[in-house]
Amino acid sequence: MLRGSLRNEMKHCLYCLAPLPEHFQWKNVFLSETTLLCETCRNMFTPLPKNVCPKCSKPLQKGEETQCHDCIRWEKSTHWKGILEHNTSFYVYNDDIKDFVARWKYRGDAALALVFKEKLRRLYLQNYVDYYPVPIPLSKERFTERGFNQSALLASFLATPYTIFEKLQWMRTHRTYRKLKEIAPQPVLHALRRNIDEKKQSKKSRYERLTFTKNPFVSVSSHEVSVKGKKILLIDDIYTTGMTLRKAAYRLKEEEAASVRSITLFR
Amino acid sequence: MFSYFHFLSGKRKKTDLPPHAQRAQVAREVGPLSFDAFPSYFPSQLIHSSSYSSELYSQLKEKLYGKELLLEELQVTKEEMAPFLKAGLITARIGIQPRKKGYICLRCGTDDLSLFGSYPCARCQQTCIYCRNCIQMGKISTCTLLFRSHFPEETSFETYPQSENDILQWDGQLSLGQQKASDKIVEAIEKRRELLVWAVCGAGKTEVLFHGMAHALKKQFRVLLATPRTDVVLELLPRLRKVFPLTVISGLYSASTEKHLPASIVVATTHQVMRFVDAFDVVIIDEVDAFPYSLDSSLKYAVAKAGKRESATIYLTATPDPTLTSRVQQKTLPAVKIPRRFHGHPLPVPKLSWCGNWERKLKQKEVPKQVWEWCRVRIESGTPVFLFVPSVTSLQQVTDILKKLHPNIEGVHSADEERLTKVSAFREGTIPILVTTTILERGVTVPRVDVAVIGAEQDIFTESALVQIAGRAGRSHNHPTGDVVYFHYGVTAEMNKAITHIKKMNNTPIR
Repeated sequence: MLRGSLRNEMKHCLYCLAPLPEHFQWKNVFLSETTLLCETCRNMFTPLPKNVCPKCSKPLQKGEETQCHDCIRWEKSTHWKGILEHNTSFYVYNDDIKDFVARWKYRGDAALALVFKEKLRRLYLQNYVDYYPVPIPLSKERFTERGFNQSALLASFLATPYTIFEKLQWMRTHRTYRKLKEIAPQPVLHALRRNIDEKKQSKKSRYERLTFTKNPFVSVSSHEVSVKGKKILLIDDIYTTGMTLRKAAYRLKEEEAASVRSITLFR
Repeated sequence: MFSYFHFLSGKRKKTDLPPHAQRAQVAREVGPLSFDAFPSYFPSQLIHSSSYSSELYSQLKEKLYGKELLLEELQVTKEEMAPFLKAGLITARIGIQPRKKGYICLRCGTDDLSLFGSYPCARCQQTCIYCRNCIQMGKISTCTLLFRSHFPEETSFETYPQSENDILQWDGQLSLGQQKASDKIVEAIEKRRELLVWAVCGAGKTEVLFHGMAHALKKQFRVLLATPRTDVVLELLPRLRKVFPLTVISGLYSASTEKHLPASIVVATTHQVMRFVDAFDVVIIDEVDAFPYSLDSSLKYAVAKAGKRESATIYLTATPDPTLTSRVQQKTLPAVKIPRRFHGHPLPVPKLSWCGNWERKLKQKEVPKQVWEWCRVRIESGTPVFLFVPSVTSLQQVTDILKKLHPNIEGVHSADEERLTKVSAFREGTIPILVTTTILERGVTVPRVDVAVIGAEQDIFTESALVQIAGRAGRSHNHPTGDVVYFHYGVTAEMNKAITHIKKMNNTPIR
């Protein structure tokens, strides 16, 4: 089980390990909302600006009104057209986040994934309840080297049962009544495998990423993880060019997935 | 139940060691295990041959000298490592050990459960516990091994000159107080005991160490000088290299290049010390009380672990913390005081000045009248001023307001990239007032300086911080006095303690 502290309470900030101030709040009792980060670390995560591309969550530049140039370019290509329907991201990828991700992935501080747990679950309940989470896999070598797959950790958050408070919140935002039992998460599908062991994405230039045409992903052909006719939600940590996600989505589309969307943490 | 009565009867079962030293003891006792103890870690198909390359032999020997490292730090693969373990030249132990309650990380000594994390591990197919306190140095989990060398010791890697005069090439003079402390240090090293050197700010602590270190080198001891800050390592290295020209001295800090050099004097930041186990005969800890707050106990543990079981430990400080002082009072820790600065003048005693609700004033874009007036007088007379503030936000506010007084006034804080250039500009005199957070409370020497604290009642200004701040003034031989003012909004116990501390030091005779 993924835990940031072997005690039940969080005594230290999950990232900088500074002692957390102990405030008693009723919110914590009722919503089981736990503060994991201290204030300075929380401010490190800059939310994306208001005017982002509705398709891929990229902050819009000057001259781009409804869609970003990247999305238009993707849609022009016959190969990639309509492969990835939509991407939602949470935060801006900046230098602070780079350090954060380095510690999370390369130093192996797996528990840092917990930072995004609540936000992911809320978004999933709101928009993606009938989608099956599929994490972007790591190659076998990298997986054993690192000991965990950060995307799989994120995906596993979505599949754990939802508390009654989360469900009530869902009903409040959707203004519909649905039997509480019906709001059940879909299981995580490990529908993809990564075969080719390539350079780390972060060590490649944009040009390299876009021209390395071979698709490293292979779909797992077994009955339990069949994606046929299912709505799929890809989970990854960083969206830079969108190439990785599209390559994965391409394989899923080949297996006749109904639609493929994605959630990424940083953009 | 039994142990409870035991406690009531006043007999304590455990030794009187402080908690970090007890944990270091535990860490030493966890025996290194031989090769066969880790069948899952080294599956038999991994071991192709039992021979190892001689190149790797010397490389590993150098890297592991006195240290305990991870595979990633050694940059070797499991296959390369296996034959060494089989031959018994290297032993391994699991980095995280279960204890009576919870776990202990053998590298940083953390046993606080809230600093451990757990995750489903792909390597061992189980839930692994890992230490989050020292993760920046590479992950230690319940399935990672720490490697330690048992290479046969060669006689010595350098030939020592026999006389102390050859080792130590220094002809400076020690003051009366320094001489006394120096003799005590030599004695403590000789008898392998602990010693607290309680010296006022500006007493010349480094010089006091020279004779003791020379004595240790003569006896072929390895010496560790641990200090909390990189700046101090960089400052000490050239000084030590000058006075010990024949000795190999290595400096370890996070960006240093000479990490794998086996040396007889190691000057290291306390983080780097974590990697050493049972390596030093003499451990000198500079500014024991200055360890960063959150890492406090693990750094003490690291220092305790780095020394051999029978080693001399020397604590150097101007402001010993309560645990040290209580041990001195209980006579379990011998101590020597240097109550006078090297120039023989007393420490400037701080004055208190009430300045009202300064936080509200700052919001109104003003500094309190008293502060403004004090600063103006100093600028007119051309006296450099250190102005300490409690936080980075107030630092910005105060700097902006004071810029009206003189455009060159600057502020520095720990994350400031121009920190070093600003401090050197202040030394040269182009910046008349340097506004700073507590980062400059130690080790910075500027002649003729006057010092003030705004908001001295804040929690961050503890007794030791206030004493250190007061110690910035009057350090040079030609200007032994200086003005120290604590501007406050209500006197705190810490402020009173700091003043009594300084007065007491001034009244202590040098025997």
